[in-house]
Amino acid sequence: MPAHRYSRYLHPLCLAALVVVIFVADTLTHYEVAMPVLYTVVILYAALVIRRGYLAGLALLCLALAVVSFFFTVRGNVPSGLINLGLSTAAIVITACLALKMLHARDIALRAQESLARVTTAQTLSGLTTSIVHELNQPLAAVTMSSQACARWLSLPAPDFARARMALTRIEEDAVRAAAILSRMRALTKGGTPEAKRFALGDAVRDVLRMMRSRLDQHGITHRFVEMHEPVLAHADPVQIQQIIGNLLANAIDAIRETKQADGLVEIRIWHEEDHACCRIEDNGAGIPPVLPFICSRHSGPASRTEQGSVLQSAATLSRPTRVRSG
Amino acid sequence: MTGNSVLKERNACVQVIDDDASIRQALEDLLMSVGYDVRCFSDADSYLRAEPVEGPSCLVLDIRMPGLSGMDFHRRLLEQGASTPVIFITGHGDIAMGVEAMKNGAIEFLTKPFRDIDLLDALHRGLVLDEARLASEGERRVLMERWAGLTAGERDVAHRVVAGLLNKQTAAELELSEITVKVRRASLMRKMQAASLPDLVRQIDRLRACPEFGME
Repeated sequence: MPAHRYSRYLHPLCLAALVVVIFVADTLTHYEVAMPVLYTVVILYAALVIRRGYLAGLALLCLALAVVSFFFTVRGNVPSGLINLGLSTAAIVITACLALKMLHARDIALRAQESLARVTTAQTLSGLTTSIVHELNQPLAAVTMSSQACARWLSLPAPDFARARMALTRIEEDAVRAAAILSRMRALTKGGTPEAKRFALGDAVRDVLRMMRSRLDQHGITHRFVEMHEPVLAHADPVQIQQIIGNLLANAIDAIRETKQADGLVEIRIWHEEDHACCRIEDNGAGIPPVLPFICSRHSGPASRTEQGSVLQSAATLSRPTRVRSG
Repeated sequence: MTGNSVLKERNACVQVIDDDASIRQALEDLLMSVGYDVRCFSDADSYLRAEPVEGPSCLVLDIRMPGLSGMDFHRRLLEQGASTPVIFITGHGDIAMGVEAMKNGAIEFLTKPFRDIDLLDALHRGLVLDEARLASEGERRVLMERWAGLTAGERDVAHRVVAGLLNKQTAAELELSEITVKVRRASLMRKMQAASLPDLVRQIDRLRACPEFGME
């Protein structure tokens, strides 16, 4: 989509245009008009759209332009011009400092939020494990005790076969109970019974991107989403597919962070291929060398072709494409 | 060990409190196969409502129970002065929990599943302890009865004799004749069934440990 490709240049272009307009206006107007103060607008705008590292540079550029236009201005009273220049400089510096502080605070809040989410997940998992372990331990302990009792009934001088048989029946019941707990646990870790249905893959991907947006922005990673067909329909459990896409995106972010490069890029591409809906997530970060994009594809045919069950059960494949994008 | 045979003769009773039915059944069967009387309860309340057992007994308590936990229940029993030995069994015991249980005087802290021999060993220790406790309680009760049979004058003499006073000194303190003191002394020795003075001293010492004795 052309619109997606150019949207990443939109903000820098607007910023540049704004700077030029202010510079020209500043040069053409009298010294008495404090035009450079308007550079603060540029800085505030930039704080919302560009990365933290560039903000200080932009502020310095604005200062330099204010000074340059002072020398090029021909009309007006020079002392008032100097006073105006001083005031504008102060305004620009103060605004830049505040904007940097604000961005820093936002980063900290974001990181705290992320670690909180991780802690919550870990706690839920550990709580779940504890209760499962306890539940499973009960029938196992009962089996142990019953078999010990059974052995004792049989080793009496006059063996009590009736009691021994009862103990064996109990052992069987407890084993069945343990098996039932295990199958319930399996259903639980799968996150409930998956429900396959027809849905638009593009919408699902956009949802995930919205959720991951702040993480991508925080690490200065650009993302590109390409829908090669419109719409790409898939037949699966949408929540599971979103979990997979979310995980792959998180992996991509981690891989890019490892290289500490500035121009991180993640590309998500979805298309139709025979009766498959295909989704490709590609990043230019470190990976299994050189770069390992994963393809996750899945049947989009009629319901009978998609098995109920986990993603792995239903013909999802992760494969390495022949064409590898070089980082 | 003779202790075991004594316990079996007197039908030692093991009481189990566990909310899990299959654990309860298995434990009951295991303990019956070794010859113990077993009483099972699904919660602390039904245990408290049941008739107390006569002979030596030991309590097997699950830590994790709905409502009052095994540990809290044990603490409450201790506050109420019950001294039945307690063995804890738990599905997932950590060290802190075990330490607390042992500090509160538990006989043993077992993690399920455990070896039957560990449980039986612990039970044996608990029952021997409980039997000793019952025996000493019985002895104390007999002593209290004997002491109650003494007259006020004989008790006065007994306190002074035990304190090491001579007959003459006792007579002076109580403003009695030495003959009277001698007669009372002989009578109280007979009533307390004390063979000698050291025997009497030992008996009075034991009585002094009873809360009822001090209230006179």
